Amino acid sequence: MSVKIHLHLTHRHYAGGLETVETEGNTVGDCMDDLLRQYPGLGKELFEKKRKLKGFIELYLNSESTHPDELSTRVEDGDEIQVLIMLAGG
Amino acid sequence: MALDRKLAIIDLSTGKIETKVIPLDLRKKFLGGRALDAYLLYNHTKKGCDPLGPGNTLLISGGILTATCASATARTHFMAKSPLTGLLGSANMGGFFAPELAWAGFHHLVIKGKAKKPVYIYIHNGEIEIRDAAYLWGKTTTETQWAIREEMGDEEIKSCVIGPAGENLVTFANIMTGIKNAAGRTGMGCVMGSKNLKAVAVRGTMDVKIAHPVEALEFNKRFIEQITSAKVNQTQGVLGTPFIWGATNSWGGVRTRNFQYNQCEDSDDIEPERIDEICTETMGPHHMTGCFGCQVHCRAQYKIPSGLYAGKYDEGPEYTSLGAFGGEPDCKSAVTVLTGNHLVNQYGMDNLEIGSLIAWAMELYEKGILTSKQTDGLDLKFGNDEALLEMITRICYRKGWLADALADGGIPASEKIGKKSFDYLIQVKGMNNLHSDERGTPALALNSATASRGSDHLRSRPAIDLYHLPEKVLRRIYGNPVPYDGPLSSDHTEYKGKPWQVFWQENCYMAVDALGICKYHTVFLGATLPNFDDWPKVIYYNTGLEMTPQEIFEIAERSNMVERMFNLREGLTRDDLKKGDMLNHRYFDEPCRRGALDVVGAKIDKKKFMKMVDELYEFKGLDKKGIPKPETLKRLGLNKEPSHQL
Repeated sequence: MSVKIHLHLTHRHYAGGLETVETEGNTVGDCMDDLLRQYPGLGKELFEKKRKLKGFIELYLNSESTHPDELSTRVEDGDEIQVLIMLAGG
Repeated sequence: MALDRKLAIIDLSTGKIETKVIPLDLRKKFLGGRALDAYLLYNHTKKGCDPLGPGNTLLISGGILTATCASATARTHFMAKSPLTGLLGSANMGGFFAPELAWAGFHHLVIKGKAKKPVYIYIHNGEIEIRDAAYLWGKTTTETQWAIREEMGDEEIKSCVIGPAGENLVTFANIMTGIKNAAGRTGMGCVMGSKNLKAVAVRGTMDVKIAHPVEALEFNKRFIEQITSAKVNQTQGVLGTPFIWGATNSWGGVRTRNFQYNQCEDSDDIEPERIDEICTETMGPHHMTGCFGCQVHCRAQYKIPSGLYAGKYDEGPEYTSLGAFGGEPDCKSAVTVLTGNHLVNQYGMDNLEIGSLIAWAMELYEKGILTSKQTDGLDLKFGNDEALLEMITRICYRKGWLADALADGGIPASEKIGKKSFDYLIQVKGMNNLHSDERGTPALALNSATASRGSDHLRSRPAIDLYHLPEKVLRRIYGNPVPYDGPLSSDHTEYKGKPWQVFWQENCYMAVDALGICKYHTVFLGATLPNFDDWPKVIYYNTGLEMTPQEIFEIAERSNMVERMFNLREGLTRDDLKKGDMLNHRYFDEPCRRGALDVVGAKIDKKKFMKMVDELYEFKGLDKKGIPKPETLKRLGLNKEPSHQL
């Protein structure tokens, strides 16, 4: 499946300034793995350890939160993942 | 019935106590809590009253849902004219006080006058008495609560109290209940101190009848699922609010060294995970706790691990204390943060205000504006943990010239210090800012500048603006219950569309404060949490009152407008740096120096900022000067205020 991942503004410099990255996979986790294969610098920003997202990172799939399934959520061709950071401003 | 809860007018000068039914038409216009308090303040104070005089009126309230089957109805609200700002004073706390007040028969207390000697108010199942508090005077907040329980022989009594700071009329003294629940902002504890009122203690066993109990409980199950399944609340249940500080600091949104930097570097010892370790080591793995009826449990318990106060128990620290005693003064020790948090809780002082003031004084000291003579020899440099903690105690007891000046608040202190010290003071309307740095986030800058009680993150902040939510999600939230098809942007550096988000959040938070529930149960930090569309059923099942989402939105608009009217009556002027909707010049002139690439170099464009204020005023129905248009007052039914209906 071809899935587009939208990066938060503050993460884009880890992906050469790209706003979106094209990935492949059957689940959100697969797509995130593909994202990290392309841009390994994003790993420490998004994950506490392998396959565990940080507490303040949330992933949306087609404008709906993937929590609590998160990485195991199935994706379809043409889906879009949004990476959110719960910064909250202080 | 929740709607049967009464209002009491207590005159401390005469000792007269009067109880009244709250008319249904006022409930329909203001619901309760902060919203009805705004109406009461506008009606029960005269223009220009002395905040520390008997003419000021202190309101204490629960929301319309308090002690019903709805979740997290723990919040107690306080309102008066602020001794810190001279404008609207308003503060809100969690804990267990408001439900106990409702079980004792009351939703609203109107406290007037001034007692001749220290007193406390005791409320028990519809009865109210004014009791001697001479033996309580001088006690800390925790000591006071336990002393009242001991005197009355009832460990279930819940009290809201002041500590020594309120007695000493520190203008940002707060009101506390429990160990750490604080009505922190705008000096409501100072107002209590000025009235010689040490505490309000309540004990109630009167049933709050639920209009449709089966449906209320059933519906609340859905609410609990919605609230506890949100990732933000699950993270809070593990790390508490410090998780916000950690994420935001690593991004570059935390004020450091007053306002010189926007990120606290090398701060591993005060990262949320480290605080969690200390809580686990001192209190065990199950150290998170919560307020009445809440499932989130965002509050950590800890003991101070070392130092002068080693072994002392406390709760928190909230992310506000991490900023106040960590980032702003550039002190990077967990023990210092935990100790500072403990001291302000015991003294009864606003952690945000005092942390920001001390950091300001440190910058003035660094620049030579303050001398060691003025600090009484204290080496008030950034990163001096001992000096920070010493200043907290000095300010509480007004020890020394500088501490006494700071205890009066930032603007009066700047007038005493002189030498352009005001230029460095990070405040709006006389209240110092939270530790967040909004130079890279126009929406948050607008919210800070225009919030009704001074610079604030809990009155109109669209915090989720920083998340980069998809536009479709933003439209889902901000397009209801009032249609909006103007611009909305997922980009937090944008200016377009932000005024609507601030306007919407202002009304969302007012509605929450009128219901008496916690902001973590609405669209504050989580986009999937309940808001206007979800509340009509909660209100109906619990109280029997029928409301549409649009009507709730209008109630919030009306109540916010009354707060605006109060501020205007007390001298708010749009661009006034001390009493207006304006930011310190540093937001416009000094770019951010640290953090992520989207933050470095960021500052607020003043021209675009002023345009945002114009747009926000338009949404609120204000003219260019920030004064309500006649048609707005008519639409909201406020053209005859003060109406003295209650």
